[in-house]
Amino acid sequence: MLFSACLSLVCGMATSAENYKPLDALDQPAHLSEKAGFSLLTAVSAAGQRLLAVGERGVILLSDDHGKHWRQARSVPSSVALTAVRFVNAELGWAVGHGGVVLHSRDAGETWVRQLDGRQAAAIEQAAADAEGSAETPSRRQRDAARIVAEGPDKPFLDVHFFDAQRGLIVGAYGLAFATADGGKSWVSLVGRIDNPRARHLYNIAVDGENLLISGEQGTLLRSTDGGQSFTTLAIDYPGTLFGALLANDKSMLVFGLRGNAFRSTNQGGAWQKVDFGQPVTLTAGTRLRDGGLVVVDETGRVLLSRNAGAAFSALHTEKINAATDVVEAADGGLLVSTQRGPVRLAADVLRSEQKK
Amino acid sequence: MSHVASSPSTAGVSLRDFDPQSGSGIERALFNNRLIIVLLCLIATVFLAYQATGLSLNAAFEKMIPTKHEYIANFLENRTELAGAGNTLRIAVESKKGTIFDPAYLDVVRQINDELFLYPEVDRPFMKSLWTPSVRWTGVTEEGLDGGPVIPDDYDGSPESLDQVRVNVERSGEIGQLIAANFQSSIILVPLQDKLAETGERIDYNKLSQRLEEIRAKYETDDITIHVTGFAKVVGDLLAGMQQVMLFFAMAIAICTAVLYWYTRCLRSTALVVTCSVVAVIWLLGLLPMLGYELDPYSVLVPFLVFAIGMSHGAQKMNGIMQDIGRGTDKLVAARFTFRRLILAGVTALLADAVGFAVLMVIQIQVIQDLAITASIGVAVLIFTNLLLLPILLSYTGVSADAAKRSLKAELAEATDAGHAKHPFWAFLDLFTQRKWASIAIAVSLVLGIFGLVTSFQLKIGDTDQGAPELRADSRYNRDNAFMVANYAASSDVYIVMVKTPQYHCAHYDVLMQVDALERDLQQLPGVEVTSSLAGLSKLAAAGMNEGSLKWYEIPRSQDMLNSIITRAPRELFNQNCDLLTIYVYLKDHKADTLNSVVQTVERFAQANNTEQVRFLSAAGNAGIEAATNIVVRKANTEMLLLVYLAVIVLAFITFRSWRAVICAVVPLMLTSVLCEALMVYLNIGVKVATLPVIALGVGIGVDYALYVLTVTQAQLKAGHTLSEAYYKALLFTGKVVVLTGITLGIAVATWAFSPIKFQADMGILLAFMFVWNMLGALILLPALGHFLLKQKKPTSI
Repeated sequence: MLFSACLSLVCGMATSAENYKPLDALDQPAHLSEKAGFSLLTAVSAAGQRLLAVGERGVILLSDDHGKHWRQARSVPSSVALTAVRFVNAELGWAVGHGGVVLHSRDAGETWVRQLDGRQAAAIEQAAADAEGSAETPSRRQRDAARIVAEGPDKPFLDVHFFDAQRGLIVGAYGLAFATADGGKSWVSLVGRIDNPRARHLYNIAVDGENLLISGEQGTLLRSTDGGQSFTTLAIDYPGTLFGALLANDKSMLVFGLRGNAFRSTNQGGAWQKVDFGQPVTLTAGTRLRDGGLVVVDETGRVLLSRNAGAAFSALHTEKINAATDVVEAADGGLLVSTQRGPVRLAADVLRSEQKK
Repeated sequence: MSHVASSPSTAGVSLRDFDPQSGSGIERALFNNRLIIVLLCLIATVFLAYQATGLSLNAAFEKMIPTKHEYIANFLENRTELAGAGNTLRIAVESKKGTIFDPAYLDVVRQINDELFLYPEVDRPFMKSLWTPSVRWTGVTEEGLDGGPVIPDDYDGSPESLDQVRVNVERSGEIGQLIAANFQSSIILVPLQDKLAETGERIDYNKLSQRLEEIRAKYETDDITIHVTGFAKVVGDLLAGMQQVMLFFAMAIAICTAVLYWYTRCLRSTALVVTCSVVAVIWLLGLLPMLGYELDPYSVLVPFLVFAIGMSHGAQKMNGIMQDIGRGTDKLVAARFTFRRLILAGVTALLADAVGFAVLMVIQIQVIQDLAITASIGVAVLIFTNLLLLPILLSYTGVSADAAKRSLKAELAEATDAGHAKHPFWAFLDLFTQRKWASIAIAVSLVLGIFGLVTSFQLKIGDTDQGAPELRADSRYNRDNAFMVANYAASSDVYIVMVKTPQYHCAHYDVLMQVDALERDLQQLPGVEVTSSLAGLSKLAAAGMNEGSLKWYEIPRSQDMLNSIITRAPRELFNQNCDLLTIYVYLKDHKADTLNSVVQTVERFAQANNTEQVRFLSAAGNAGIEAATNIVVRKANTEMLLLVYLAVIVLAFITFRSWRAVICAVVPLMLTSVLCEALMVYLNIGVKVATLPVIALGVGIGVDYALYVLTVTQAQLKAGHTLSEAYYKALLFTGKVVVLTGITLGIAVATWAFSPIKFQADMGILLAFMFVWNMLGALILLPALGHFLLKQKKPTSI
């Protein structure tokens, strides 16, 4: 008896070692880190007076003094790298990231819950593909969806936008896109509404009211004028990736990306003119200021400003900044840049320090 | 030990009255064949002096580390797989006036690069500099990745090509690694092989270091400065420092000779004692290469000890012979009587020294064990040269008549007039046999002891300074090291964690996630500057494969993507078999606290996460090795203290056959040990490989004093004298020699304080302190304790 009990114990240990799996980062809460302030950050956003930045290992930083001091969010349920964050008001916000994760906060970013992950997203897409296709001869979309399910949650979402507390959409790698009409409780696939046959990554959602401009890999540009109900593809004579886009107050569009390539259209994407950014360095993100100015940052840490709706940019005179990933205007008029090594605050007067590029 | 004090009627015996067949067998064998012995010794000295020319100086890496410790065993087991953990020189070429984007600067770097490339020690495929083809830039284009060597193939020194170099440098990812962020210096990274591939010989660090110095001399100008760091350079500088040790040895001989002459005022006998001690050193140095030993920076100190111990024992022999000759005894007879009286005391004292050394064998670090063996050989040699050869030589030369008379003055005064004015110094020491002074001495000792004990709780294990701890903080090497730390991201203190996985699993997603979790834990530590591993690289590579977008900075969940990443990953992060990952933890410094925090974090993580398949192992890298060394040193320190005291107590008990006497002998030693630790705290010296032997040596040699003083005192007490009388007699008879021994030993080791090698200086200061304080302890605290513990015996017969 005793012997067999021991034996089964030993066997039990052996099998548990065989099946040993470390906990999935999707399920591992983000660690509170002393050095979170030096994390690689991917995005920054404002929630009322408060600023939020997200980045590697599920780090979410909060600042209540316009970016002078930062602390880590108390509770984040996943420790995957986050890629984007957006708040609709001072309380409600969403963040997306790797593993196909969507996180939601109702308390201005202090605590977060998971609303979606890559497995659920793949299942939604498969269900949508199946509903659209037939059981006998699977459509291309069905085959792709089956593959996405099989590959597991390895596809990050890359941007998020919410129009209000209910309506929002998320876009990501390999052309995945989903929308919600109930504040993220349930999601529907947008893949069928988007013409993206080669499944290009979708990097950014630029917004002006109900107008959207989604930019992505290898010159992908998608425009919606009805709040994401339908999308039309915009043609652009540029084969490189467009990491970001901005919709200016004068209805002109600016798209930018790899190696300093940037283009401007004043006729809703009918024709594009090249915009000179001075150096062949990738432009990573941008923001529209409250006064209509456009700010774009690049991977060498330059911060560039346009006062003419994107027709021309000049570099701001700043201290040396690490590779910049995102920028937002703080409530006090300063700029907040997320970088490879933590957040950087630029005081409002920096915007007056334009210099020749 | 009564033989020390039993001075039979040796006074005024002439050669005619002396029976040559008297004495022990050894004595007869030696003294009745004096000429043969002297000739044999002469032949041995010439032969061994010749052998000594073959003695080599070296400092092998493995010898300085505890190879038996688990961490080091892990390191040695995986050593061949750890491409980046090895023995690498970093040579920074600094442009003092301009930047590195200057044709003259780049040309100097090229010349140095080419010169180093031809060194046989260099592991050429892994050498990196601005000029090696392995240093490349990569960039993202619309078509995919693009890249090339940082210095383009068509570089011609023109402003255009210099601009191209600058652009390439900026996108090379080497800023902070090979190129300083201020663009004023760049590094030539020179990995060395374990053995020369051509010949299979070990690296001669001395020669390598000299050649590096030649490069420095050749290329350094007003505009160019060269900074060299790396284990090989540390060893080279240590070996260069050791050559200065010769100078200290000469200094030690000169000072000890002067002290001895001042003591004896007899040129002849002083010269003899010095000669015999030097002969002992020659024998030692000759025996070492014959037995297959080398001198390393630790054992190079043994000749000092042997010389100093030889001087003190020689002086004692001479003291006895002088006193006999002063009484009118023939020099040969005097020599034989002295031999008879002191051979056992001498051998016991030398045995006590040997015990001190032997205890060091418990420390599983080879340099210390070599030191123990070398010192034991030295002590064995001393038995021949200073206990046997010296009396024989003295029996030929005798001593100067004046000196002989002088040596007896105090004793004569004592004998003729009991109420005479005692020698003030001895009289002062004699005070401590009285209750008042004894109480004061004990009270003061108690205060000192408590103070020392409290202070010693702050004693740190390991190194307390930055840079190479072997060398002084202001040495060229440490200044070069400071330059590297200030200008380059990767610090010189690296702790390497090895992660063993099943074959081909090194890039498994789950494994990399664990590695990342450990890195995250380590990055929380204040002493950790940055970590690097395949996990971190795969995040960066994921971003790179997605056109440099940092939104992709995450370990890819797709195994296909990971597999394609490792095909391009640098080899220092994993091995050929893909069953070993290395995590590099770059530390701010290698202070004990920093290392402890890393060790604990890794151990805790390993305990929670190690499975049969995936094991996290400490430790390679200089900081890992130092961490293991600290662990061993901490353990050895306690063990060694226990053992050395046990040995000394046993030895003292065998000698005195009295617990009370043992307490009198050992308590002063303990006080000195405690105070020595307090001194280490005060001088900011941590317990490390170099300081471990200090207390063992200090106690082992220190007990000699007590042996000399207490044996005579005990014998006199037995003869019915009061403690004061007995102690005063002991002072007259051996006290002088105790003082002499303390001073010569103290001086001999104190000369090391000037050594360019920091740990030699530390050892010198601490040993000098131990020797001198032990002497004071034996002369002051011992009689004070005796007052309370030692009883005058009722004379059994009048």
